[in-house]
Amino acid sequence: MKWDVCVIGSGAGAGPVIYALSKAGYSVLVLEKGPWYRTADFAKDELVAVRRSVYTSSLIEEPQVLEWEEDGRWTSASTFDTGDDFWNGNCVGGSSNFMSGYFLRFKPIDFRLLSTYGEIAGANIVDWPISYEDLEPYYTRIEHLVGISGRVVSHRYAEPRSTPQYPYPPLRENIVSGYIDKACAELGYEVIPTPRAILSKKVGERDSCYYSGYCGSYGCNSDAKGSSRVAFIHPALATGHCAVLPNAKVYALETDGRHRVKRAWYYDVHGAKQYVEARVFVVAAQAVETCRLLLMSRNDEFPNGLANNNGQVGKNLIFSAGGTGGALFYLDEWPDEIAQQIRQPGYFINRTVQHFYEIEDPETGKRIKGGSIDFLFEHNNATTRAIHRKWTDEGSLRTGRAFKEDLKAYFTNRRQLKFEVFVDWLPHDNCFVGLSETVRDKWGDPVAKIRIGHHPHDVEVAEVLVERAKEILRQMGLREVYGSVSTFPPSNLQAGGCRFGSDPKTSVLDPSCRAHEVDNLYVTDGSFLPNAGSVPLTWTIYANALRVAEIIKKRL
Amino acid sequence: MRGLRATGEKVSLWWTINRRRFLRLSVLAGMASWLGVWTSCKRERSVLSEREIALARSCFLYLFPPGDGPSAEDIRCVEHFQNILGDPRYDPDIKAHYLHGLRRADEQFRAMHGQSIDALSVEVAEKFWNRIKEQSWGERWLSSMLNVVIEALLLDEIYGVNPDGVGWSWLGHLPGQPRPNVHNRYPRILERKQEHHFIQSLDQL
Repeated sequence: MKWDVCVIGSGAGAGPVIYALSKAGYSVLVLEKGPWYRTADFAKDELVAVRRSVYTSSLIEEPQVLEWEEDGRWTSASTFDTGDDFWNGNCVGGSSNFMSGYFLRFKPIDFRLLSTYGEIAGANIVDWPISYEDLEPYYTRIEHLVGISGRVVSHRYAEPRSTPQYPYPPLRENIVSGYIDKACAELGYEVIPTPRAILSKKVGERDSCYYSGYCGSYGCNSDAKGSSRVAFIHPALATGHCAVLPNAKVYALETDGRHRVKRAWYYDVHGAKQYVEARVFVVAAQAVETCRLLLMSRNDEFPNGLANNNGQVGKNLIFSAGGTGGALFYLDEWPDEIAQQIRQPGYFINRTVQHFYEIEDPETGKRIKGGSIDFLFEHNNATTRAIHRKWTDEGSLRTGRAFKEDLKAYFTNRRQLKFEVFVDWLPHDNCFVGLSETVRDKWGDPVAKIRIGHHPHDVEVAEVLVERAKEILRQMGLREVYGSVSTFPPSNLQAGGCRFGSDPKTSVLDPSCRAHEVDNLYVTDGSFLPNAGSVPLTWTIYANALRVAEIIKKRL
Repeated sequence: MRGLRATGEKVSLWWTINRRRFLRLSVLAGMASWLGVWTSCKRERSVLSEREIALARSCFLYLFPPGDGPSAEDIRCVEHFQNILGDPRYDPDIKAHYLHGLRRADEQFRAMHGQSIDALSVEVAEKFWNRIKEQSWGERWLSSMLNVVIEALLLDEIYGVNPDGVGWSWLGHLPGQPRPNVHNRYPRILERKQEHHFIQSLDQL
């Protein structure tokens, strides 16, 4: 059988394509490396989700190689050796099953960083080949398809919208959200309610959020979270035009000698090599693995890897990152009634500060791109919280009564409010994906080698935002305020590597996210992004995938 | 900056690169019988001797003694430790690290006391474990053993630990809902990784 469309991967970049093309009546086959976990499979089980990492690939079977700079030299090591897990969700729906669902749009200036702020030495900044206005209708459609809850408020960096409000009312909030509002008002900083891809009321077969307090790293048991699996693949299956093959690892795309993909080759669950044929192929395996698949698909037409005759595949890998920090509520310092509300585990903080989306360069005084600060409680994971209490500030191991006393005090009398800073991870020549020459996975294929260099400009910007976040926590009267810039990228917020653009010399994909060099190959995960904005990426990935689906629909 | 994570946890470059090498070499350095330990961890079951069980029990009670809340005995640390060692999916290098530390501690115990650890008073046993903790290998190994304690204290009782949620109650922790059941608990949930057929309808799920 020859399918109309073969989609490789089933996460955020795949779901809208699967949905839109199935709804349009085209036959769509989805090849997913991981298994299909049903909604009922998703218990709030710390052993499964965190301690045994069941939802991600095994570092023994599928290591990756990370390469980083230390004291002026590049050092690399297998994640099997280091224990640094760079995998995300490995299952139908991908890591969107395990996202927290902080949904913020990119802003118009994110589409034209170069023309707005100019060049930065050592960075490969480009403007996008499309504008915010091109993507806006898809952002809006995603709000309804995914189910975004929140409240639109006016602020200096509010994006233009074609509708006045989100389709669903805000989720319930902890009393602490009001304290953040008050502190920001006192400081003169604008703060906005964070929209979430979580239903605040029942819609069709999907139930409302039930405020269990375990979103990030856990699958949702009520289908309130707008994962690709629930929001797009379930309705795609209902059309009768879609089929999903789980536990099918695609390892090569074969071309026909005329710059068209003919077959996708995959390993079945027994390790046997199989193939499927389709008219159009869509790759959405998340940035690193998408690049790896293209680089592995070498042949006479593409000796450097599929769509890589210009040597751009894997280049300009980016992340959405910046830093983190937090502070403590000592509950015995608050009236009992208030302390009980602060302790309430399931209600959300849902506060974002975008007041510093542009900032003043500390050295030149010029306006430069800043970023966002997101506030959230420390995750409810009890084992993780306890493990963080093992070591004293001086670096010695707590044991016995000292450990028990500290643990009890931390769990019963403290609650940590944290913040995350998102700034640009500028594209540059020392952040890219290649193939390892030495490390192979359980199938015998070379694993991804990921150089994770950062641009010093990002650190300078992140430092400004971290300080502002700490200032807000201090204004709230919290204790033990801390914060730091991090240049270790978060694996769940990866993008780039196949960026889109009009020039094949500096981009892999054309403005429609079709490979410049391959007529029937599209890439719809975060790989297309030339820069990662200063917000979590998922909404933009969803919206762009829906845009590309419309383009594919027209050609079929 | 590679050594400074978002968590604020400091990690040395040496440790970053050599974590697994350390796990293996630390086992090699202490025992001629390393190969036996490591290969036994590759097998499905790793059974502790009675002496090792007694030593592990003493270690867990040192890490998590009775008084103000449940003790290591109350949360079934030894049983959980045996489950980990018997889990064929658990990283064999980490299992070897656990076992090696236990046997290295036993060697030192034999040299110092030459009797069953059960015969020692709580105070003498505590002194012994404090001496283990003063050694760099010992502190790192005890840190790993404390992970076993934390799991026994705070995981769901479906795993044979934290009976009646005694750890959660003590710390005022509300577990997420729903809790795991016999169909989706580990390792049963791993059966999903063996399913391989075309799914074309929600009714097939």
